[in-house]
Amino acid sequence: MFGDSIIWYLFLGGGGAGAAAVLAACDLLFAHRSRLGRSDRLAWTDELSRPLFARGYLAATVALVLGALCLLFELGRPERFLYVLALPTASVLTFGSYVLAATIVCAAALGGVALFGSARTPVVLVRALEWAALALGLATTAYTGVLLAQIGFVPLWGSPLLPALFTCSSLSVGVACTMAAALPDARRAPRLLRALARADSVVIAVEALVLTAYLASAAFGSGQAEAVEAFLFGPGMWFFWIGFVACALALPLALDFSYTGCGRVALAAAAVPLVLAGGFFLRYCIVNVPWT
Amino acid sequence: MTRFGMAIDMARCTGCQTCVVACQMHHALRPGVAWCAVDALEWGRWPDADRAFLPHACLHCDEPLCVSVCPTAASHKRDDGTVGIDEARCIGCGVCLTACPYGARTLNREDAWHFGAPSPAPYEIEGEGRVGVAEKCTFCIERVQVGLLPACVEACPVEARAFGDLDDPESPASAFAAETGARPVPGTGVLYADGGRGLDIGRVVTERYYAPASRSQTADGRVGEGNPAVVAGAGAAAAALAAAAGLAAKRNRDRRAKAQRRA
Repeated sequence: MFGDSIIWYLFLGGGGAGAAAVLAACDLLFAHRSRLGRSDRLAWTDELSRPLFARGYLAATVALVLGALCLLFELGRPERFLYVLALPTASVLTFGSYVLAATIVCAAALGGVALFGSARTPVVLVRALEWAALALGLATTAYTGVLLAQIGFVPLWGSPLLPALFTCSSLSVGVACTMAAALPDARRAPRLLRALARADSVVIAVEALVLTAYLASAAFGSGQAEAVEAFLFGPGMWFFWIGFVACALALPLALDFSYTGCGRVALAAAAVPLVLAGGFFLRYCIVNVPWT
Repeated sequence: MTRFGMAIDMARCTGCQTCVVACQMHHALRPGVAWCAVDALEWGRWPDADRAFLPHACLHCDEPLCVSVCPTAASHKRDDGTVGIDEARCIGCGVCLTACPYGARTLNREDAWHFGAPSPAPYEIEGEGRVGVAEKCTFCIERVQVGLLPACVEACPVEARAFGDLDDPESPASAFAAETGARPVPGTGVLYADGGRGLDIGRVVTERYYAPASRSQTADGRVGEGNPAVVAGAGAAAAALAAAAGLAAKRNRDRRAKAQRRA
């Protein structure tokens, strides 16, 4: 069916958009806290720094651009790639191309602001870009799921919970990227990393719930029990159980809990590559779903 | 309202593939490209065996998924009921190939000509632009518009096919369907008479197209291109590198702290 490059596109596009959304949300929470007079629960936002945002947004931009390039290089007529923007239709792909392009612009702009001149940039513009990055990032992560879900005759694809699952996974990857961006400052800003680890645990818990609901509704609601069985216990099951469940859900959850408990930064650092690998394998398993 | 469609009688089809070749010749398809396919269906074991041939191409659906996923409107549903592809707008993204449940579309990336020729022969000119774009059966709409029949219908030596306006009860397709008992694949413009076998033609075509793709993954029990030993080795190496980096960082930090304390 879809080739390997679409898996990388879904992962890099979704993950990069998730990272942009999470970074934007962090700064918006900091702004929220400043306006509300120093609430204690958001005290960790004081530890956000310009270098963190520079690292994070640039990584997000690179991921988004690489993802788009994955798709571009696979086109039969790559020289016509602008047609998706210039000849729009009411299709999911048109919508996705627009939001992806807009997310790249926002992430690059915010990365530029973080690198070159957050003092000279009007705050209103920065806030607007952040709200845009948050909304467009979430739209992009959902779109990666809708892209598959619209092809409803493929087993396990035609579910409204698939976009939800991909969004949760992209947000988890986004939080992991933010944690990675925060690691160099881990000594100086312990509360930040702890807040991110806690957020990661919450997102992963939600992701696990959505995964269960997704498989349950396919098996018991859409009569695809055979497809779910083949997905969970057929050939390729280890890509799911180890590649996704262990790497993206179980291990990072355990690592995040033990980090928030004992404060050893290495635990949080170890969670990051696991979440990234797990995010890739989720898309790998879903795109390569066995036909039943 | 015109609604072009085709009726095919599987009881007459001998699996000769003349329709496949006639289509290739008429549309100057590139080497290796075929818009029509003829599946050989077999059931049981002699003496209780059965065999039939199922020719299929684009079913020109009433509400085509390929049209709704196309980002540039290259794929479009015409007023006469046929589904067309505008070669000039197609970017070759391939989403329509996956969206078609019947595997009717192909995308050819090889800019080659038959017999290794460096340039097209005069009769191959029609296929010149068709590289890197999605392509499929067009119901020979340019022939139909001048009063001819589609190439496959005209070429079939056993008259297993009929073409016409399905909304006109007196068209050749409607008459053929009435005569043979052909029933439409639900939601499409193609009718099949299956010789009384009671087949779900749409499902048969979908399964024949998709099942081999996933079965090849399981041929020897392994999935994908990765050798498990290599992947596990790479994982172990990565873990070891990460551990070594962590140890080196800790040793650096301790050394720096010790130097600071001494100073």
